[in-house]
Amino acid sequence: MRYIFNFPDIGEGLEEGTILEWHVVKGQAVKAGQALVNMETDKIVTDIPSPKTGTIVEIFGSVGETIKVGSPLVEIEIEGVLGAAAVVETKEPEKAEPKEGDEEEGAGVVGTMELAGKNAYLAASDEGSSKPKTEEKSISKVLATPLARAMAKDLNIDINAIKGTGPSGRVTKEDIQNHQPAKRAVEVKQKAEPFTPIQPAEAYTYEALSQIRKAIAKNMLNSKQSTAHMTLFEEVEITDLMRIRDKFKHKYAEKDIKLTYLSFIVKATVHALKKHRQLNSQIDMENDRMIFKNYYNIAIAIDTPEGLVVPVIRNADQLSIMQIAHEIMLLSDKARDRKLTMDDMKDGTFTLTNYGSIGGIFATPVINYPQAGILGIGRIVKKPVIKNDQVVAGNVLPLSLSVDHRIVDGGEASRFVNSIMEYLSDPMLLLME
Amino acid sequence: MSVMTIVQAINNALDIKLEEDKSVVVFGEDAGVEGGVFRVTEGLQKKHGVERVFDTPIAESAIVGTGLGMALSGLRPVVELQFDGFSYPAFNQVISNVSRMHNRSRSMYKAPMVIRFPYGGGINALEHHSESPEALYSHIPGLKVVVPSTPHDAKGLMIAAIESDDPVIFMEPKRIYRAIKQEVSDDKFSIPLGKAKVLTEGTDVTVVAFGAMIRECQKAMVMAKEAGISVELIDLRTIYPIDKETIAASIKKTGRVVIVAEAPESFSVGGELMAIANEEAFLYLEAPPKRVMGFDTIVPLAKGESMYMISPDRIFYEIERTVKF
Repeated sequence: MRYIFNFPDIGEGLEEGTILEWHVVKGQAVKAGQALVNMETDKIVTDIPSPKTGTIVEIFGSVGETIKVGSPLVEIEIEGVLGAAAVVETKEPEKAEPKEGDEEEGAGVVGTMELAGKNAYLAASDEGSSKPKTEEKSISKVLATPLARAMAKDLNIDINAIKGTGPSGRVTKEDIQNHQPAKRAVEVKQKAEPFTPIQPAEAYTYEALSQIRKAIAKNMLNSKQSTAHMTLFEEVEITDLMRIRDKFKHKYAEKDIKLTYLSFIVKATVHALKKHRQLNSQIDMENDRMIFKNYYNIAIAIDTPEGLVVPVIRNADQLSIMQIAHEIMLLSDKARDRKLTMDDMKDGTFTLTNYGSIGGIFATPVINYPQAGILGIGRIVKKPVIKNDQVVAGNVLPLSLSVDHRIVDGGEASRFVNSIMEYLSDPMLLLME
Repeated sequence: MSVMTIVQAINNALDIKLEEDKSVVVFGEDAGVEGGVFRVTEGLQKKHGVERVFDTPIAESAIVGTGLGMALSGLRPVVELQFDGFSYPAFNQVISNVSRMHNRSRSMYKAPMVIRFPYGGGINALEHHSESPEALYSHIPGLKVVVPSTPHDAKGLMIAAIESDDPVIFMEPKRIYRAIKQEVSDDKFSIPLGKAKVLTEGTDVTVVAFGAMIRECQKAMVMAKEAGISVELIDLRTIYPIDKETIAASIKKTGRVVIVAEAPESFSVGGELMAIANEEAFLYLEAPPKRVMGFDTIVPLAKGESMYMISPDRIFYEIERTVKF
């Protein structure tokens, strides 16, 4: 295959060059990059390298001759059949538009200049030659902030239909808001349904706060505002505990005592509090000290129709499980009958809340201020657990412990819960300690 | 009427002014014998003499400084710098002297000169040959900055620039120097500086561009039309003083604006146009003003240039996004 190598544009504003010396002769083999000819341009004297490897078939122009950029320099046979038609190298294949006339010749430049093709004609303009036309165009759009426009768009309102009340008739946020109810009323009327607006007097019922609600509200708010709540969640498998309870609940029943899981949990909690005194304490920030309590009064949250009450099992550490169960019964009855006294409810050191008896799994209990923690007991759920690498049906008790993070660090809270879990999963430990 | 390219139209404007006003002189590197690197001044030396159309040494600062001296002494020089990137050696003369002589002399002197140079990318050139420094010059108080996009405008604006008593930076979009033709009046006419032109009227979105980007926008508008979007295209023509009135009126009408320019986006003319949209047409905006501009980098060399240059596809994409906002 042959092709013709044209004199390339090798510099800015280059139009033509003069051949000073040929480095090759007809019939000579050349390699790509090998100097073909020494050319003098208006800026430089330089060798022009061959773009291809092959054999020189023809040389155009003799020494001293001036040739134009773009006109043929040499014809090279690259490979293949001799005598095949020469292919003119097109340096700019993307330039599809044909050159028109001779006017563009000599426009040597840096880079690739696009030339106007047949379709690159612009319509003529008479601007500057004729008198300028002045025409005022009115804008029929309303004024509005982008915010108002966005609101109108969201609510599917045509903002241009709203009469603005802002400066210069600007449609404001309020205009859009006020536009809404009117639109709704129209829709309702179209459905032809009687529409009776709720009278303010009937819309709400007002009741005075009960003393107990006032106290709950005050205590809850005080707790949340005065402590740094942190809650962690755990699950403990209690099949063994269930077995023991099932075994003894009839014996207790003979004595009219209801053996609840809560009784065991109170016992386990007391044992754990003894090991983790931080949970049986309170902080005294005014005097920069901790107050550790050497008694264990476990408060029990009880749901009553009037509201939450939290009576206390005093010195729970000195009570047997039977005594604890009995105490819980007494307090529950008193709560239901609204017979609890202030004495029944004061001096708790740690609280248990057994919402699981109603239904919850996990919760974030609110600390019974100024205590250090509260343990939430969820509903026992039957679910698969792994025992000895076997999936078996387990009875899982969910626990949620909230602590005052000012007093109890995360690690201590975890250790405390672990301790309770140990007692509940292996209740024999309660006897052994 | 004659069919002209932008190159020929500017040549024609210079010819008319050289003929009509003996105080006009034209010079620069290769501007005399060769007729300029892009042949804009071709034939002018032969016709008007070597005294009035001549070559200079390769010293842009001296070219501009000499021009300023002539301007202060009563001539109206039109100086050529070969490329956008070669205007920087003259930058100190421009910012420290040319732009402020009128102010500095408390109006005793004026500096009626035109500094013209080709600018912009799209021709696969070398470094310093493809830049769009319009924001640099527009930011300098005391200068006017002009960018034509058609042969007709190029002629009318060049005549207005030469007749302006203020110094004018005349930036010529070299990518379309010879890429478009137009019938242009052979007579003298001028187009006032500071007036943008609404090229196409539309209702959905305003597109503001100038120079070689006008043609790319027009390509994007073909796609927009197919998508049922009505675009109003504005050619700035004069970057400074910027035609706030025309731009704001259009944005108020359409509620949306897409700005197209080759220069790096940050701190650009595009930013100024967005400021106009916010300050003048805030209460009419339906979508955030959007810029389609060059990346914040040097225009790549020939091989990578196509990745930098703004394509009609990219313009259309942003037009569509803005209209659908």
